[in-house]
Amino acid sequence: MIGLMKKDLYVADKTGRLLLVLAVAFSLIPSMRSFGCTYAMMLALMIPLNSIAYDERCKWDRYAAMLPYRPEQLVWSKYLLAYLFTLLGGTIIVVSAAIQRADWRETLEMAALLAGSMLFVTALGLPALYRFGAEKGRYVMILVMGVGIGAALGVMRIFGETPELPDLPLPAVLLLLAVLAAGATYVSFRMSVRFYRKRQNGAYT
Amino acid sequence: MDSNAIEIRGLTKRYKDFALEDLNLDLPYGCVLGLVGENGAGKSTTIRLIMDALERDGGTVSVLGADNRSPDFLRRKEDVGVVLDETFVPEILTARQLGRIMAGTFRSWDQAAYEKWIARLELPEGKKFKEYSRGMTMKLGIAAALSHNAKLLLLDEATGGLDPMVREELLEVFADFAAQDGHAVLLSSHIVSDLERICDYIAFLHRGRLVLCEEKDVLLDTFGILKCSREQLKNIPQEAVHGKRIGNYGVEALVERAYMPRDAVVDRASLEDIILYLSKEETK
Repeated sequence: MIGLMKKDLYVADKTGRLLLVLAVAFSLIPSMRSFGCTYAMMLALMIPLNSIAYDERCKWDRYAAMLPYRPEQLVWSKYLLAYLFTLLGGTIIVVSAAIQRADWRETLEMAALLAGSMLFVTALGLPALYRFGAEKGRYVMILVMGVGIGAALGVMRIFGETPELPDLPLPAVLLLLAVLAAGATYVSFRMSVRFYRKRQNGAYT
Repeated sequence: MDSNAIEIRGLTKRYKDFALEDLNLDLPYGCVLGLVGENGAGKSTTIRLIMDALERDGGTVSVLGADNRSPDFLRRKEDVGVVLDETFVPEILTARQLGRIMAGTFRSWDQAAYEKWIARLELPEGKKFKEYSRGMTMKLGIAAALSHNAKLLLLDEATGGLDPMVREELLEVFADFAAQDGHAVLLSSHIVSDLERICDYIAFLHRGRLVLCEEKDVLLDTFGILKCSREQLKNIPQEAVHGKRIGNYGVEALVERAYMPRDAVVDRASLEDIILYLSKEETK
């Protein structure tokens, strides 16, 4: 597993360095802070996507199947990568807030909300990438996210108002998000492994 | 310890347009087995099935004494060095980085051995793979496969793209590797002369079927090339003829020496002759 993470981080170092620099720069500009924070969190999706695309291009998975790894470990490494960059995104948000002396509660809420959202998006996106491949998968992922956001906006329009979020203390919100993200991740991971195995057996070619 | 590093029984894998059918194969310890066959004959599929990288439709495979479907096999994979016939590492990485990746993959990774191989094969450590030639990529795969104290090497067209000098050197390395106690090599190749040079056994796959698996020396002793006229060929028992080429001035045929009359002049058949004639015969 350490070998897999090293490989993905080497690839991320090449493909994600510019994205990371931009995320830090945006988050440090006061007028662009919200955008910068969202951008920083987007790394959690973009880096695994790039990694899967590189793997596909060089047929890494064919080679990896010969190494002492289970398919579950090969798939899990991409989830870990997403979590690692979620953590990095969160760190960028917190550090930029500290530098700009932003409100802590607001910052933590924003970081938690963005991190939770990214974990859901990752949970949604990775199975699509394993099912359709990096090229088609990214379009499917955008489509699914678009449908989700459209459905949410449609519901709001029908009911004429934004549903009120329960006024819970921050630890409770974090716990709730963590439980929901864990559940979504479990379902997503099982699907990804299933798609990965089928792809290895030539089901989608 | 069993006597075979690999034991394959009734191995079957079916695709829409291709099937590997009922493959039975043994690779004894201390030997090099050459897997030969045309493109799409099933050589790479066989190697992937041996490593349980593909779901099979039937049969069993034992590698280094472990069923490749057992939980134990994951540990056994540590003892198998594999070289595939294509690029396998993201093009933006370097040989140095690959070494670190492998160090995190194999418990028995030997960094000193890897560095020794990198130097011996004259591979640039800091150069990205996208700047590598095919031959350099193959060399790198071989360096990695030889650097984790493997007991079994699975080489899928591993000598393709190498210049003759390096190929010669690596063939010697593979032969020396197989000669060590408890070691074995399975080498799939189109270059039949490579197989003839180092293999102890030859397995010939044709359209997903194993046509023959025999000791190389037995094959070379069994078959010969008969050059004669068409009339003379009619007097040869037909079961002894395994393919013929009819020209304006006579006939050249692959024959079994044991059936030949005493006065027949039978030349030595190369492994390439045997494979070519047998594949034509199978295609008919």
